[in-house]
Amino acid sequence: MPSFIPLTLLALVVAAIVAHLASPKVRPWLWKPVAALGAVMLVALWYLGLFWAPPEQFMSDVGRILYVHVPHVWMALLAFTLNVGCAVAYLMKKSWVTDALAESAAEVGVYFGAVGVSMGSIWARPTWGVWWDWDPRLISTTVMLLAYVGYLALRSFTEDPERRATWSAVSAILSYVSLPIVWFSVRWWNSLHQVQSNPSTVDKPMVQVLRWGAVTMLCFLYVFIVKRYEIARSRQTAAMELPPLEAPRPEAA
Amino acid sequence: MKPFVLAALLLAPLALADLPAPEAAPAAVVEPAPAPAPALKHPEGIEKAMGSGVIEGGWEYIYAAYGVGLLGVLVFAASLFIRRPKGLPERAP
Repeated sequence: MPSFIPLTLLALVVAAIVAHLASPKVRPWLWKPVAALGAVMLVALWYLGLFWAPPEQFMSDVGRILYVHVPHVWMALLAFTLNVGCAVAYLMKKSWVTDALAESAAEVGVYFGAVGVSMGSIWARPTWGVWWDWDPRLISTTVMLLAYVGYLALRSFTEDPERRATWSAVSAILSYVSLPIVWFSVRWWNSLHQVQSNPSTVDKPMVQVLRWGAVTMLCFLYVFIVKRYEIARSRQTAAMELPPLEAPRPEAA
Repeated sequence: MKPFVLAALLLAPLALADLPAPEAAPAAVVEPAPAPAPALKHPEGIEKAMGSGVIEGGWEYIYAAYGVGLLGVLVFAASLFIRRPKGLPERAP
């Protein structure tokens, strides 16, 4: 797979999300073929990851876990990047669309991050000998996920929609500080977790399966974000239609 | 002039008399070659427990990780389906 294809696919996903938001004609149907494609690719990923890819030099078959673990964490980082982009956009120009998209991206990011960390824990048991180790990469990832859980909690505890949007946008920007720390933690500190690989250090069939997994998860990322966005939008609409909590007091004569 | 030169030549050995004589270089010590290390062998056969450095097996962990991924997709998709809005606004404001 040429190196420009993943970036092209990523651009396509972003374009599909924008089309979903902007065009009511696209909204009812575009997610369906993408979801079907994701399901088919997921089945193929199981075959490619479990049986087709060669075993790793030292991890042997246990290395097959990386074909699902790494794409999940990538999707979490992408979702959090979308979240902070929407947060900045909201602060620059207030819009319920960017607020709802930020909320959906954060929740989907937490989902992908939690599943990715769970897979990493399962991988660590036969590789490191422990389910969990308090090393810099794992600590920073935990802090990042907890920050976004806090972001979602902040949204659910704040009643006023406008105040919720503003506060959570600021919270999103603060939470995003953890992301570069997660990314560079394996380089800044002496971490048990290995540093990032690149196509020149990984065997070609392994890179292909890893990219296949990334594209598969991109399909699910798109579907999950747009469906969660619809939930967020409907909640916003319901909140706008609610009567005020306190009836306006009659003015004193 | 000559008497001074002769006196200097006669007194020079006296001036150097209190200096210690240079020591002779120590003879090189040749240590005997160490005895060859005994072959690594543990009475309880520990060498048998040493692996080759490659993880063997672990398929239960692999299936568990793939299962967690599939379960996650299904559960999150189900949660989105359960929370789906009943009536959607046609156009976002």
